[in-house]
Formats: sequence, structure tokens, C-alpha cells
Amino acid sequence: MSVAGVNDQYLATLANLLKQTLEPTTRQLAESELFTAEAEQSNFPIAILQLITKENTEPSVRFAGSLLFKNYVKRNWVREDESKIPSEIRNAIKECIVDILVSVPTNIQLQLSEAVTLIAESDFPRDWQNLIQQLSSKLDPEDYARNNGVLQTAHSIFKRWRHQFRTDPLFAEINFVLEHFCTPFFQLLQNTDAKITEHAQNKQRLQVYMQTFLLLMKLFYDLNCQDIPPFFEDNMEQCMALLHKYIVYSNPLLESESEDEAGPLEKVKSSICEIVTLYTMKYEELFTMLPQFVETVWFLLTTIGIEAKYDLLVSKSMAFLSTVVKLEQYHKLFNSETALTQFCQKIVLPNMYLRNVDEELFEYDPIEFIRRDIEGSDSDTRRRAASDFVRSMMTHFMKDITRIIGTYITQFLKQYNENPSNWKDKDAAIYLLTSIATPGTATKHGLTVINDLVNVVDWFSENVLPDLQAPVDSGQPVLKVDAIKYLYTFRNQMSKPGLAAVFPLLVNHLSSTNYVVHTYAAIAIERILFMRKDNAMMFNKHDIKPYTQELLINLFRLIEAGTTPETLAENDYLMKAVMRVIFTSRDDMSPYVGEILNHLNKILGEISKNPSNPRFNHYVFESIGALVRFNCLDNPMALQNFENMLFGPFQIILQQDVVEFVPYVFQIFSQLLELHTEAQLPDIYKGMLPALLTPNLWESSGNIPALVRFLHAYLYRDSLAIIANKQLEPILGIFQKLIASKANDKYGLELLCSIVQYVHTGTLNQYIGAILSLLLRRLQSSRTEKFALGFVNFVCFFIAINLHGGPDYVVHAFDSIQEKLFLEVLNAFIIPDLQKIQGYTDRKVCAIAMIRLLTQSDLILSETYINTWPVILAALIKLFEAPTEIENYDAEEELLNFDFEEDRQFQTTFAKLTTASKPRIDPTASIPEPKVYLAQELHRLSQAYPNIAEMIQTRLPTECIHYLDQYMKLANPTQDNVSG
Amino acid sequence: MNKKQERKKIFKNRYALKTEELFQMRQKLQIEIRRQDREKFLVARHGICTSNTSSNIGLGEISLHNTSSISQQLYQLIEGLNSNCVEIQLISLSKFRKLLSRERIISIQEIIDNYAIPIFVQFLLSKNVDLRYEAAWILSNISTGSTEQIQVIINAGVLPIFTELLNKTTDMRLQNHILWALGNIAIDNPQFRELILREGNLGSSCQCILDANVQPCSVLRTMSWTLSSIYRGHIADSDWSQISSTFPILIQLINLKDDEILYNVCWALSYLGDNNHIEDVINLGVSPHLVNLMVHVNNEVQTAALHCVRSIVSGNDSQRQVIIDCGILTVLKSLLVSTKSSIRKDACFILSQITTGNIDQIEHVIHVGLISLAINLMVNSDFQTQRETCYAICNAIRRCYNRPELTICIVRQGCIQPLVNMLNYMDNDIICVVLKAINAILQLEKTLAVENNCKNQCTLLIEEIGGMDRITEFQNHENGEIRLLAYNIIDKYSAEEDEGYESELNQRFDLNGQNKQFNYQSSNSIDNVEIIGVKI
Repeated sequence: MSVAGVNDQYLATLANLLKQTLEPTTRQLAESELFTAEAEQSNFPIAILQLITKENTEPSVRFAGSLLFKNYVKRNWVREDESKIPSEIRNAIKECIVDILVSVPTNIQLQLSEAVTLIAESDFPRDWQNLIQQLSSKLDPEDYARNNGVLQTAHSIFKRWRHQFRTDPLFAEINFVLEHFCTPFFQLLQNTDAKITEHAQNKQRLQVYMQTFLLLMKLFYDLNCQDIPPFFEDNMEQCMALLHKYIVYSNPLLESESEDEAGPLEKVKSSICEIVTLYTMKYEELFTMLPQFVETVWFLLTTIGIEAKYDLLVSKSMAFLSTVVKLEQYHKLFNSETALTQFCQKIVLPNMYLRNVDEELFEYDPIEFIRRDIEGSDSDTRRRAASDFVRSMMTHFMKDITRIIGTYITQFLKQYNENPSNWKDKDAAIYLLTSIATPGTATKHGLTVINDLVNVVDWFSENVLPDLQAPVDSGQPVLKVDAIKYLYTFRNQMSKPGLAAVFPLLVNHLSSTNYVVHTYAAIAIERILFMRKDNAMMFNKHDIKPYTQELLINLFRLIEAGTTPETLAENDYLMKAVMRVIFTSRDDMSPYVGEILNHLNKILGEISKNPSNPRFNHYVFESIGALVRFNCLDNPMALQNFENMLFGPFQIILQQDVVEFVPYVFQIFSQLLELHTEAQLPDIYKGMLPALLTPNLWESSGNIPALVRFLHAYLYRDSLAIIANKQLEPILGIFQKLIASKANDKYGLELLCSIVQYVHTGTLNQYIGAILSLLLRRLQSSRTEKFALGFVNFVCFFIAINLHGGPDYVVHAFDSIQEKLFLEVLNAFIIPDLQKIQGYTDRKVCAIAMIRLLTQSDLILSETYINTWPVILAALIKLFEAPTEIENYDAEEELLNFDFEEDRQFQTTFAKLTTASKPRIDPTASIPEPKVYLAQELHRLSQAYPNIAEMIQTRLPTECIHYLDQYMKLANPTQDNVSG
Repeated sequence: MNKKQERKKIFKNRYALKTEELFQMRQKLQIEIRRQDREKFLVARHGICTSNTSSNIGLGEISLHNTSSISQQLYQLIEGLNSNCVEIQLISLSKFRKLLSRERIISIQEIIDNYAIPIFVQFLLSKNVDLRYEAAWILSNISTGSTEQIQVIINAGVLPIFTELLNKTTDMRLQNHILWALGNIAIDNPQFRELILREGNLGSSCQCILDANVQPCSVLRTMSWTLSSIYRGHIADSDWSQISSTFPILIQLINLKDDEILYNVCWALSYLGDNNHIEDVINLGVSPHLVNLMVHVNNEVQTAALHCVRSIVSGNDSQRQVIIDCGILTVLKSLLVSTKSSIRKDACFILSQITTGNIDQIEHVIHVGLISLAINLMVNSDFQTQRETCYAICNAIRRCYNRPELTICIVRQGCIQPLVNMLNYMDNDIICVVLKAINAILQLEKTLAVENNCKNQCTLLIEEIGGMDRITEFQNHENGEIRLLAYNIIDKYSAEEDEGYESELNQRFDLNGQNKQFNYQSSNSIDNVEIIGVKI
């Protein structure tokens, strides 16, 4: 190793520490000592690497060392502060790590491979030019364990290409790799092929070679994913011949013994299917062997077994055929009655049929069955792939496929009707019908686009309804589920009377003893209640009144049957149905609202012990929020009752710091507080406020939006009390803390909007200078695009609300800090950024703010500002007329925050409650049409100041004058334009 | 221009109603992975000129394949060159040329190694036309060599001699070979091209040749190619006057209506356009020609014209407008239904550039009926074409933001289903633009739904055809930007909010009424500001 200075004693110390980390008793201390060592010795990583290479070190210590090294790289390699690892150490690591990688056992190799990937992510290719040569020089015609290590590393470096956009740096990197990697890659591919042929009788070696081949296939995909490299174009025939060889390859020695787990050969074949799908999709014009692969894959699909280990291969194979059959230029390969019939019969039917493994899942893991079945999380299942294949074939052969599949449906139904023990035939028939009737899949709103050749409503009455009408616990539960799911899928095809007629049947099925059946009933009910017609809900409180009580009793019974917090919260579909029933019934619930709240409280108490299912939790709180919303408005008595019932459980959540629930609790609190109408803040809220202003609550990022929302409610309700209790300054402190953070600055600005809106002028006067200085300082020290826009948004809001003395108050507030400061703000931020403001309301607020500034400010007409006046007007017109940029203004930055939040999943993330959300307020609601308002105000202004008209004429760009004329006509159709 | 006007112009530029700075154009890639068509074009013309039909010099039979070694024969040939007898010199020269070009028996390097280059260059100055011609032919072959080899002939002083000869001679054969040689040298690298330009006179020499030939002929074809290779790559400011001196030639060449010349001129103009000289191409006034050539019967000319127009429409709005005024939109209509897929692809690319234009241009595109054709192609064509049409449609949608009626018009023509289908392709750029377009549609729809109290048809449709499921999956995409876009769409448009509730509560917040309750009073002094919490 190139960097000296690592003596044996140091290595021994480190080895000892690593060993101690493996013992629970000594772990903590050893870890902290390792941290110290890491901080003190710059050659620490080199020493660790040396330790890993020493074969006389204990294997467990070597492994611990490799883990430590990987984490070290993860923590330190990519940092703004480059000095964390000196460059000579960096270079030394890059010099030796590939050598070490190929010489260590597999478990260690995996860790080092990840470390190399992490380093490469930041350094390759610019600062690690010889990485590819280093890797490819390690490829060995004999040592395949070593090859696999190299290939694994290469794959983990290259695979990120698959997800990146086409850019010059990316293409340069790929070309750089291609230049050095293609030849060794291709040699190894041929070599591996030769080895597999040579050692066809040696199981152990075959396994290794197959693993190599699999990695080679993954690399094949990596190298081809963005565009087809000339090397592959030139060697297409040879490569594809090899791929073809292995998609048909079979060797009894490679048969996987398990029924469920795919072996390396199945994985290789799946990978090959992915490659040919890629080639079909992107390089079809060069891919001359495509028809051959179609034939081969078709043959493969007709001969493959039904075991679960083949599931992936089957779905990848069907995905390939689906891609081909959709292509205009290839669909003729399928264009014959025989071919289509064969495809349906030999590929679609067998894979549509319920298998024993599926039945087992239905019985033993019902919730998993439901999730896979209904949410499309089953993208790799056979049924899904077969359905997709049917739909793909219908792209060009709608009529034929409908007819062919129709024949099978009739036949299957006949078989079932002759003998009900053939229920799987009916199950398949229903699934087939769904596939041909729907060009896509729909979950949320049901379908409105369907195949005209199929009458799904008639089919329902004839074949599905009887299953629903039969006693709840009679017959095959799978068919019950099929029936409910059919209704669910085609609900948009049904009329309201039709749905209303079957609704009681669904309610009945909530009492089914079968988990899947009653859950599906809840799902269907929930979705039917969510249907809209002509922009109103299809079912209203009167429609469900006869069923509400039974629905809720049954749903709560099913939910509360869960004996542990986890099992109780497992089935979020049931809870969602509760929520939807409450949403639909609205204030009809008032007679038994207490009872419902009791149930919710009980559930809340249970799940607080271990909040395991975020969706379930969310629906619980939405339900509470909805009850509050529909029952407490203008009803102080009800409000009082709710507070009495909710405060207890909520307090427990706060005291026990159930982090997942705290943000919800604050949102409900905000909602309740805003519903109070008395002049003064109720004591209970008054008492809570000091705790809200303590820093620890604000540490959790999930709490921040909820707390800002809560403070908004306080300020809105009674800002005077807050000021009197000297609580405004801590709130300003919070504002300051929030705007210092790039992740939270938007909440800081939100809080500031509440402050300038509800704090009266006298108090605001004391602070506004400091507040604005803080914003400007933040803009100076770490300006981000997002914050700059947020700032513009705030200033506009401040002007638009028209309090404290109108626009001049804002201008003056800035200018008191420094002479002509507002002029700078205008030129540096507002004028250039105005147009980037997004969202209908925000843009309107900005427009109104600019109109007020132009026409209701004395200062703007003063000597300092008058030259800017036409520029502001031009910017305003531009805001009105030029296209908005609606994409993310700074995706990078947003991403930063986004990932930042994702990283912190151990912390609560904020989930907004719809029912408890702050109403979106347009502070300019009284002005409906900004363009007209501008025209009117300009007209008014020019009466008072005749030189305004002249300024418009001489200083405004012609296009702008043209638009201005239009506004004038809008405002007053009879009047002449301004230029007239 | 007086001062006021000048100021006004600056003012205008600064706040003109444009949003180029905001609208991210599709990034133009400089680096490609796949082998490019254009490379093929260059390779085809770069190769050793093997034309021998024009040769009328009797060749003595050469039999290099027998006994004597190549170096020995080379030695003999060089001796022949050094002879005093023109006849022998000529025979030796043509043997050289034959060995080099037709039979490829000796390599360029062997010639260089035997110090023959200066001798050839000397022959260029000979009074004998045939000697000059043979020498030029040999040198033009040598100019197909490597950069180092070309450097040798440049060092031998070939460039000033070529330029002078080109200026003086009327021998078309000689002109032809000089032009070949200059083209080959220029194409090798920008420095060589600069050296040629620095010799000057390119424009006037070409003009002379042009004046002498009213009809299309071999030398004019070569000249057009030479010019195209001179325009290739970045052009330094210092060379610009030389380059622009050749522009009148291009205009005259294009009027000759010869397929090969048209082909070369189109490429020449493409190179100019690709190197940020779109405005100069426009100023040549050839745009109507180019648009006409887009439907030329000769496939190669058509392709070259398409390339050229591609580069022009990637310019700014006013440059695009010039092309639109030449009637390109009607031409595109016919190209989008061409039977050749490469033509359809190029046409779609051009359309995708036009739809980055201003709103009037997009309105024009819609009114001509290009959108439905493009949507049709997005459904039924190969991936490359689908990709381009997808860009065309998505750009248009995002540009139409302020004109809901235009967006609605595009949506009504059935773009949603094909766009959602594009989400199934394994192409991250496409996924990204489609998500942005969907976002734009949904955002508009939401605004309209709020304003006009109507329902969200598009959201529903996207949901029904499986789009929302797909977008939901993208929330786990490895690509951060795609993840974020998907997250935003799901968050904003798929959330099950019930707007009905909100309007109900809105009435309770009476902002203005609330504020009247405030008592205005002044209190603490401004010193308190210091206690505002933590430092930034």
C-alpha cells in the first residue's frame, strides 16, 4: 500500500476495537473510540483497509472493518468540506481498493463494492480516470469468484444510468466506459459461454458461471439503456445469438430445487427478456432478430411450469410480447386467427387461472391478497401480466380478441354452471371479462372508458348479481369477492338507481365472516360513496341514511376485532370506509356523534401504543376532523362537548409524545380554536400556548407545519392577548429560526404572513424593521431561488392586504432601514421574479399588490421611484400576459428538501388533514378581476396626475400599451384607449 | 438611431413579453452514444477519391507485385520524379497516384517517409498542366490521411499554392482536386480550416469558378462540398469575413437546382445553423428554398434540407417565424404522413422545436391541424418518432398555459391517452416531459374547475387509463426529478379533497371585518428587537 505510517500496533488497536464492537457490553465505548480514531488519524481509512486484507485477522473483525469502511465513505467522501479526507488519502484509497476488492471473501467484497460505488458516484470519471481499467484488468479467464466481484461493482456503478436524463456529461461518461469496457466485457461473455459449455456436467461451477452470466446481462442492459453503442450495433448478431442461446438453454443441473425461489438460470432468462424488450422499444429498426425472439419467448411461455419460481420470468416474457404486439410494424406477426387463438389459449388462459399458491394467500394472508389484488402492487404477477398482454393485443385486434376471449368466457361459465365445484372457471371468466372490457386499469374513480363490444351491465345482472344475492356466508368466498370487485370496477357504468339497489347487498356483506369478503365490501362501499355526478357527490346524506348506523356498527365491530394495536390498524380499508360514511352523512350524525367519537377515541387509544399503519392513522384523524367540521360550526355546545371528549386523549398523545400523531393533534386543535367565536382566547388554549413556544416541539420537522397552522389560529383568534402576554417575541423568534433553515423557510414566511395580517399596526411598528432586516440578511447570506420567490410573495401579500396604511406602509418600512431600500428590493427581486410566482391565488395577490403599489402609493410617485413606475407596470402586464413557467423553478433545491425529508423518516412527516385544513384565503377576494381593477385604478390615477398617461405613452413598451388598451376596453367598453 | 430610441430599445428588450429565460428548451446534446447519420455522410466523402474515369494519361504498365520490393520501386519512382524529362516525370507521377489511390499499394506514410511531398508540391508550380493536375490529385489523396500526415503537406507550403492556383487556373480538373484537398484538410480540424481561411480569397476564387460554369458540373459539386466542410465546427470571429464572403456563392449554388449541390449546400447551411449562425442563414434569404427542399423528390436532398431546417427552428421565436412564414406548417402536414419513417421523425423533431415557440406560433400550429397528426404518430410509429412527437405535444401544452382554450383544443384531440402510454417507455426524459405536460393540464383544469364549477375530466381520464397508478409508482423512481414531479401531481390532483367543505368555511373568515377590531396603540421601544431568538 502506498501510504506508509500505519504501524502494526495501530492496526492491532483498531482490530481490538472492532472486535469489541461485536460484543454488546463493550460496543458503545468501542464505537465512540473508533469515532475518535477516525477524527484524529487521517490514515484511519487506510489502516482499516489494511486490516481487512490481513488474512490472519478474524473473519468477523474483517467484516466489521469492511462495514465500518463503507460507512466511513458514506459519511465523509462527498462533503462540501473537502478537507475532511486529505487528497493523498483519497488517492491512496482509489489506488488500492479495487485490488483489495477482488482478493477478499464475498461478504466483505459486497461492502467494499458498495464503497467503490459511493466513491465512483462522486469521483468517476473525472477524478478516477483509471477505474474502468482497474476493474477490467482484474477480470480473469479462470477465477470467476473474482470476476463476479468486479462485475457486481461495475453494475452497481453503471446502473444509475438507467434512471438519469440524457445529458452531455452522462453521455460522455457512458462513452468513456464503453471505450474501455466493451472489449473485456464481450470477451468475458464469450469466455463464460465457453465455460458453461465446457463444464455442463459440473453443478457447482455452473452455478458460479450462471451468476457471472446474470451479471453480464445486467451490465448489458446498463450499457445499452440510454442509447445503443456502436460496439453493440456492430456485434449485434453475435450478442443476440448468445442471448438467444441462453433464453432456450436448459440443464437439469441448474433446475432450482425450490418451488418458489427463482434460480440463476430463471433470472438470466428474465434479464434477457428485459434486454430484448428494451431493444424492441428503442432500437427496433436495428434489431433484426426480433421475430426469432418472439417465437422463442412464445414457445417458452407455452412450456413453462406454474410454480411460483417462474413468475418473474413469465411476467417479463409477457411484457416482451406485449411490447411487440403493440408495434405497428410487428403486429402482423400476430395477425392470424390461429396465432391469436393460440396466444389466448396457451398463454393468457393458464396464467389467468387461480393457482393453489394464490388460494393459500387468500386464506392465510388476506390483507396481502387484497393489497396485491386491488392496488396494482402486483405488477409482476402472472394475472396482471396476462391482463396487460390481453390489453396490448387489443391495441390492434380489439374485435378478434373480444370474440376469442368471449368464447372462453362462455365456455368457463358453462363449466361452472354445470358443476359449481368448477368455481375457478367462473373466477377466471370474470377476470377475463374485466381484461377485455377495460383498456386500462382504474382504481380510484372506476371506469368510464370501456370496450363497446362488451355489455358489462347486462353481464352483471346475468352472471354476477346472483352471487351477491346469495346468503352472505354461502358459496365460494372467492366468487363473492369477484362479484364485489366487478361492481367496484364497473361502478361508473351503473346508474344511480342500479347502484342504490345493490348498495344494501354490499352493506350485508360487511357481516361476512370472510376477511377478504367483508373488506372488499367496505372498499366498494367507500368508492361508491366517493362517486360524483355533475360535480356533486352521487350519494348524499339522505341516500345513506337508512344504512348509516348498520354501516358504522359493522365497520367498528370489524376494526375493533383486532386484538393488538398492529392487527387493529392493519386494515385501513375499513377505517377509510368509516371516514367516507362520516363525510357523506355530514351533520346527520349529530344524534349519535358522541358514540362515534367514543369509538374513535378507543381506537386512537389503542393505536397510540404503536402507530404502525400511517394510512389507518390518517383516516382516524380525518374522521375526527370531519366530525368537528360538520357538527361544531356555529354550535358552541357541540364544540364544548367535542373539546371535553378530545382533550383527554389528545393530552395523552402529547404527553407520551406519540410523534406520528402530534401533528394531527395540532391540526385538530387549530380547527377547534378557529371555531370559537368568543372575543377572548379560551383559557384552555391560553394555557397551552407557552408550551407551543418551547424549542423542543419545533425540533421535529413533522410538527412545524402543524404548529405554524396552530399559531395562525391563535393570531387570528386573539392577537391582542398574545401581545399582552409578551408572547409575540417568542413567536418572532420562531419565525427567525424557521427562515434560517432552507427546509423550513416557507413555514417561516407563512407565519410572518399571519403576523402582519393579525398584529395591529402599533405593535408591528416596533418589529417590522427588524423583521425585514432578517429577511434581507437571509437573502444576502444564503439566497435560494425558492426563498427569493417566497420573499416576493410575502412582500406582495403585505401590500395586497392593504392594512396598516396601505402600500406606503410597506415602502416606508423598507426605506426606514436604509434609504431607497425598497427600490433595490423592487429591482433585485420583485420585478425580475414576479412572473415566476405560481398558483392562481398567489399570482392574483401579486397582481393586486402591484396595482395598489402603482396607484395607491404616494411614495411611488416621488422622485426616487417615479422612474421605476413604468417598469413595474410592464412587469405587471407581463405577469398577466406572458406564459407562466409552471414547472419547478428550482428542482434541485426542492429535491434537496424532499430527500432531506425522506431521510428523516424516523421523524414524523407532516400529513395534512383535509378536513381540518386552513381554508385557502384569498385576501384579495373582493377584487374579482385584476385586469379590470388595474384599468379602473389607472384611470382614477390619471385623473389626479395627468402626466401618468404621458408616462405610459413614452415609457411603456408598445406591446404593453397594446395590452393595456385591452384592459381599458374590458373595464369600460365604450371608452377610448389610453393611447387615444 | 437617436438616444431616446436606443434607450427604448434596451428597455424593450429587457421587459419584452418573452419568457425564453424561463422556458427551458430541450437540451441540445453535443455528445451522442449512437453512431450518427452525419458521420456516415462525412466518411463517405472523406475517403480516397478513386475516380479514374477522367484520367486520360496513358499509364505505363506497372507491376509492383512481382519481384522488387516496394521501397525499391518507390525509390525508382522518386528518381523518375527528379528526372529532367517531363514525360518521365509525368509517368512517375501517375504511377504514384495509381498506386496510392486505385490500388492502395503504397501508403500515404510511405510517401511521406520517402520525402516525396515537397516534390509533389513543387510540381504544383510546374508550367505543365498535366504535371500540376497529377500532383494536385496525389495531394488531394494525401489530404485524406491522418492529422499528422496532413500537417506534413501543410508544412510543405501547399496551402498558399493551392489558393493561388485556384484563383488563377481555369483547368477544371485541377480546380476539382484542389477543392477536394482543401475540403479534406478543413474537415480534419478547425486549426487547419483556419489556416485555409487565412490564405484568403476563398470567396472570390469560388466566384470565378462559378462564373465560368453556368451549368451544374463536377467542379461545382465539389465546391459545394468543400464549402460545407469549411463551415463545419465553431467559426472564430477572425475568420468570419472570409466565411461570409462565400455566402453569395451559396445562394447562386442553390439556384442551380442540382441534387448533389443542393445536398451539400443544405449541409453547409446546417453546419452554420448548428454553430449559432442561424441569423446569418436567415439573412441569406434562402429560407423559402429550404422549406421547398423539404419535399424534394431526391431523398438525400430532402434529408439534408430537413437537417438544415431543424437547426434553424431551434433558434429563437423570430427566426422560427421566418420559417413559418415560408409555409413550413403546411409542408410538415404532408411530411408527418410520409411513408418514410426517418422523414416523419425529422418532421416531428422540427415540429417539437416550433412548439417551443410563442403562443401565436403554437396557435398557428393548432389551426393548421398538425396536432392531431402528431398525436396519431405518437400512437402509431417507432419509438424515435414517438419520442419527438411527444416532445412536440408536451412543449405545446406547456406553452399554452395562458390560453386555456388552446390547451383544451389539444386535449380534445385526444392527447392524454397517448401521453400516458408514453409513461410506459423506459426513457427518463420522456417520462419527465410527459409528467410536466400532465401537470400543466391538471393545473389548468383545476383552475378552470374552480372558476367555472365543472368537474375534472382529465384527472378522471388519466385515472381511468391507469395513468395515476403509473405516476404513483414514479413516486419511488430512482430519478429525483421524476419522483418529485410525480409526488406533486399525486399530491395536488389525486388528493381526495372535497372542495365543497372549503367554500363553506371560507365565509367565516372575514378579513376586513376582523381587522376593524384592532386597537391601535404603541408600546415597547424598538430595542426589543435584539431579543428575537437565535442568530442566523
